[in-house]
Amino acid sequence: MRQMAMVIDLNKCIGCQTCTMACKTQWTIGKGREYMYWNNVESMPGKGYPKGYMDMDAGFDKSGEVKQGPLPPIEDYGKAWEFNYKEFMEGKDNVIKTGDSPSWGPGWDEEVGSGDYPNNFYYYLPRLCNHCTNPACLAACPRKAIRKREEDGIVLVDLEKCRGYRRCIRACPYKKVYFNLDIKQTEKCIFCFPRLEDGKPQACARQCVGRARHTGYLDDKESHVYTLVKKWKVAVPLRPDFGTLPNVYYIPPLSPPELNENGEVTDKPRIPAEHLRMLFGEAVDYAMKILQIEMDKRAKGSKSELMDVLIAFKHKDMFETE
Amino acid sequence: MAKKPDDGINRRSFLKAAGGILASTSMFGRLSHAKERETPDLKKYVPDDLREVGPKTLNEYRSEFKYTRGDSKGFSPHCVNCKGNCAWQTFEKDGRIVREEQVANYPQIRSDIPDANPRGCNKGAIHSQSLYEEDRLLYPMRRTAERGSGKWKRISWDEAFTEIAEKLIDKLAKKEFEKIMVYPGTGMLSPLKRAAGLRFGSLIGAVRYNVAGPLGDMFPGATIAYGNSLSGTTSEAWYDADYLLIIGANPMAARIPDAHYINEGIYKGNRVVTVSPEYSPTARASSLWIPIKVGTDSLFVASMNHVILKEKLYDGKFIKELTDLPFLIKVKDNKLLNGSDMDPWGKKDIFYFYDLASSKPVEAPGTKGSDIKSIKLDSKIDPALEGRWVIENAVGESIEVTTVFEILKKELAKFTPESTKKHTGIHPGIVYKEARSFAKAKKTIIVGGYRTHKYFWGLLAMWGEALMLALTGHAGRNGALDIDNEWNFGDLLPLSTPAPPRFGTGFLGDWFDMDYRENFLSHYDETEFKNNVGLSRQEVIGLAENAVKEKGFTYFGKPEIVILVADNKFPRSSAQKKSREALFKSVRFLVDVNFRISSSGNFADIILPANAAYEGWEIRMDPGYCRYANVMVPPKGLKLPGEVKSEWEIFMGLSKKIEEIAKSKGIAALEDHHFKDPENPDLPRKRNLQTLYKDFVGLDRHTALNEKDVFTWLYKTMPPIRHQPLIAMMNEGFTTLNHEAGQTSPLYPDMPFYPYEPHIYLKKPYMTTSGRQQFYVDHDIYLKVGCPVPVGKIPIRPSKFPLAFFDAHTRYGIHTTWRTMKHHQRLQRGMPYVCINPVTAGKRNIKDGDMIRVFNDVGEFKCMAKVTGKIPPDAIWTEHAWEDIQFEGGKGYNNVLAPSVTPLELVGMHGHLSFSSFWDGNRIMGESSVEIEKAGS
Repeated sequence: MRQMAMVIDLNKCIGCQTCTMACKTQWTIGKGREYMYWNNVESMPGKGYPKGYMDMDAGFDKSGEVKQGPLPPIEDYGKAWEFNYKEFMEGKDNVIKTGDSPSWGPGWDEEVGSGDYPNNFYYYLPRLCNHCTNPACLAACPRKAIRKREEDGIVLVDLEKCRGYRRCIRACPYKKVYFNLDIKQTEKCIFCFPRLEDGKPQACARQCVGRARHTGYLDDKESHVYTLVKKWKVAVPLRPDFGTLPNVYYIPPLSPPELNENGEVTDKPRIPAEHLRMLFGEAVDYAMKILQIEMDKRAKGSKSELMDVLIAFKHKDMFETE
Repeated sequence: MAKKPDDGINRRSFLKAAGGILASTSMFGRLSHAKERETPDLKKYVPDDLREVGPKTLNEYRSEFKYTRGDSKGFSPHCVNCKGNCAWQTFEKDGRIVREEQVANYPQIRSDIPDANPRGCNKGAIHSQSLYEEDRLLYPMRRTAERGSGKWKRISWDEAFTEIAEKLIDKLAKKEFEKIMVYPGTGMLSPLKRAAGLRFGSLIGAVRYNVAGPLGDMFPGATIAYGNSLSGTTSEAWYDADYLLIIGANPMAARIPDAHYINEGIYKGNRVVTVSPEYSPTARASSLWIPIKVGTDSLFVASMNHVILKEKLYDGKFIKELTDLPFLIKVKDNKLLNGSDMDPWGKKDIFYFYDLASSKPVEAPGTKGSDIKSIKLDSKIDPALEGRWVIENAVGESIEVTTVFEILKKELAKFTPESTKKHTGIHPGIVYKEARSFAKAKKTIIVGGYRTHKYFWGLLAMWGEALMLALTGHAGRNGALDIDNEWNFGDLLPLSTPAPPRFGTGFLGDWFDMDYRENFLSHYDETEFKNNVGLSRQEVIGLAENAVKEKGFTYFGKPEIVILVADNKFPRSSAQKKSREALFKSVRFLVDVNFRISSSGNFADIILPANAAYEGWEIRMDPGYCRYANVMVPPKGLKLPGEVKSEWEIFMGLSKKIEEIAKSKGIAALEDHHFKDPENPDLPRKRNLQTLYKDFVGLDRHTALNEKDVFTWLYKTMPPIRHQPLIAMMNEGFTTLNHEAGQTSPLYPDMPFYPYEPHIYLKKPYMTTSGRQQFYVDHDIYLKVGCPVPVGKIPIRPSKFPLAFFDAHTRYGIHTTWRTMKHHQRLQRGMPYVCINPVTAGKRNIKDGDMIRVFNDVGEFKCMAKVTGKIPPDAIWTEHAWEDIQFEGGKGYNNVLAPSVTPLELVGMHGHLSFSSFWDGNRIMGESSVEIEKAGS
């Protein structure tokens, strides 16, 4: 039994959406998946995708019972707006626009952030299915249609079994299972298992130009993933309180210091520690501390295995997918 | 050892994938070398019977994946005006490109520098979809109703060529060469595809503009200092440096493939300081963000230089040898002491130091007029930096002199961080601390950007940035002003310019063609302007007129026929609607060559559909931020959509048609009096339309009938790639450039590229008049405006509207290219927006998501309000280069941008400040003020 995992470095994510596009062209261009972003990048603090997903009561309760949250309407994801290119080309419209009157989308609050100028702050949070060790979607499915594979821990919807009850969507606290209106079944990130079978890392990871994503098996001591999650414990899961034991981990974000009312530099990072704790749990304190210690060490010219792994001198070394 | 994942281009793995049998073998393979196992909590959470997925589901996704790997494969960079240039692999299925993925196989240059993989961005990752979108141009089209109506009729290529050829011949036969403009724009900046339009224009003697000026992308501030603006590094240097000052740039959104070096540098221990008015994606990633008021960069830079001078953080040895700071200035008129002051027969481009060793003035070596072609100082000479002396010239006159350094100290004494705070908003404590860190760092790079020169005093900011580096001796391998770098392409003129073209000034060309003067006058208040600048508005207008009359900025009058090739002229013009209307007072016939409909194509008479990236042949090695040449080779099975043709075939076809008509009408060779005959300089040059086709396809001794023919020629012509067999490049998608690539320094295989090594280490004179890094301009205008040295000036933005309007590059387009794509719009708001501070919005009762009207006395536009605290309360902001056709009424955001020109860029024929591709001015557009209100329903 093995677990494929991913570590996303929020200090290297530049919010460029290359991963989003890589995933889109790999899996969700058509076939009823147009509105889906199996991988999306949202600005934090923000409402996320779908809107307000973190506040929908889902995941597991303290006793380990799976919760059924509400089913978000399509508008809260953002419809895949269609545009009138054809009408424009035919001279019927003179503005290229969507007829869908947009009111929300996966990037609606991009870089809006929180806080007053000049102490506003934001950062980017790439999200995909966490391929949880304790998947709420799996626990919620009355059809036993959701499976977690023995060989790599990838969580998949078995389309032969799914009947589109959408309990999985309601149960997933990350709202990373999507309803396909064409086939009336749910679909989600498949961790690019066909790419892995072909010896290629996941599209979002391999194509990440920020070089922010490390992938590999958690038990592979040669992998960056092992080094960051198990050895140095600087990579932490999102909302551990949801109880699903995610297998996507994050290097928490640093931020430039706040300015005081006189415009002087303080020693306080813009992103409040409480905010990070809310998102990543208590473990984030330790992760931030270690990051700072190792950065200082490296800045003074000493060696730091941790910094070297995060820098990732060779792109290929970021992936240990076999 | 775990096996490394495949890089995605390995032929064997492709065959494996194509075989469709790998799923099971790979799975067993994995189990067989699985190492230490953890049996986590899986058993606890996932019942035994939920650990297997049915084959139907697995095979469905496997077959989808297989589809995206295509039947045949190609390679391609993207050819737009981006600072990227990235090797992508393209996958063809059923004649169409179905997906792209980075090659990601660039070799690491040194084990302690991160490799460059995988270059690319969000636009490149989905370009394939734009090939088949409904706004793709597929057939030649002719306009059938009024301009901008969007009413088109499909016509044949022959009809299109005939109509255009007849219009051109009409002008050419009358020898009105200057009435024709062929404008390969910045939508396509790769050498092969760009060459077609340039070549055609050069053969018929048409006008071409310097394309950077109209965009505000010239760097005259750097050219003053260095003689050219090629002072950039490769992006690996961002990792290599200890201290990065990022100002006027936003690499996290605008240099996406390179940005990782900044973040990795922070992990290495680098200090990264970003100066910008908005909390930009780059500010977010920095060690420190310094918020600055819009347009006050020159004042911040002056305050940094103030501290460096005051605290003597400068490197005396460096500035004595490598800058003009010890040059002597005449006290009576603040002009440089030159050869003619010292001797009636002396040269004006010889300058002097005061030598402390011999207590007399000594001629500086290596100046433009010097016989010594080196700036190396004689060990016996010690140029004074400070002092005031009375010297005597050859005819016995006494001249009182001082040094540039003295004047610099005096001028910059005014810019204490305490005094600049009221303009910049930056606390003095920050300036003191960062000036010290900047000076003390071993390797310091200023990442300058394309925003700087869009402001009236941007030239001073960038010139001052060069001064910061010079004073602190950050040069050679210890620092640079990273703005632009171009590799050595070899001699491409036989391709792009077989005959002399009419090369014109870009910024002044637009200034006159589009009657910018009127909008300049309407927006800037005379009193405010004159108090700030020291010149009246009319004086500045006069300087612009004089620049083309007497100062060597070439302008050929208003064009009547314009052929745009991937140029989106209207959305990038100030006072957009008025400018467009002004242009159409002279322009009677507009042709647009592009792969998609644009706001400019929408106003054309004829539209010609071109092929796009992935579909043709190309070798791209610009710009010089990465050390790789990437090739475009289409997949074997690719079928082009509709009737699109390559730019080469388009201009070849047009040449053929012109030749046919010229022959049938018996049009003899035309005398072009603007140029001399290459064989007999007493005669005018002849342009023979009866041989136009032959001249177009005859490339050296070859006949180039398509892009592939030119591709082969290009390969043989470019020295930096000749070491690599062409077939190898075509198999790998790229090659690493060799040492010949470097123009301003050698390109070493294992070091980041830093510019100007020959000057720093070998003491070769710079291309400046002084032969050094130059920080004094004694031109009358500079003296009158009070800027003979890089000082700071307050913005000219008028006070009559309350808000500054500023912009930055977007991550969702390269200028307007890809901007209308649904895949990018879906990640934004589906329509254009401006960002507004909550306080600013609240005062006007504007809520996030409201439609608002942005207006001033130049124009107006409507868009959505996005409310965020990342924007200062005294300004509004948008990501630039939306298409006009995304806005209600086609009124784009440039409608409120007032054009202006800065007098500092209207100086010509003054040493190295003479019109060239490095000395041309900018369309200033960052100095507009606006008001906003909720849009009426």
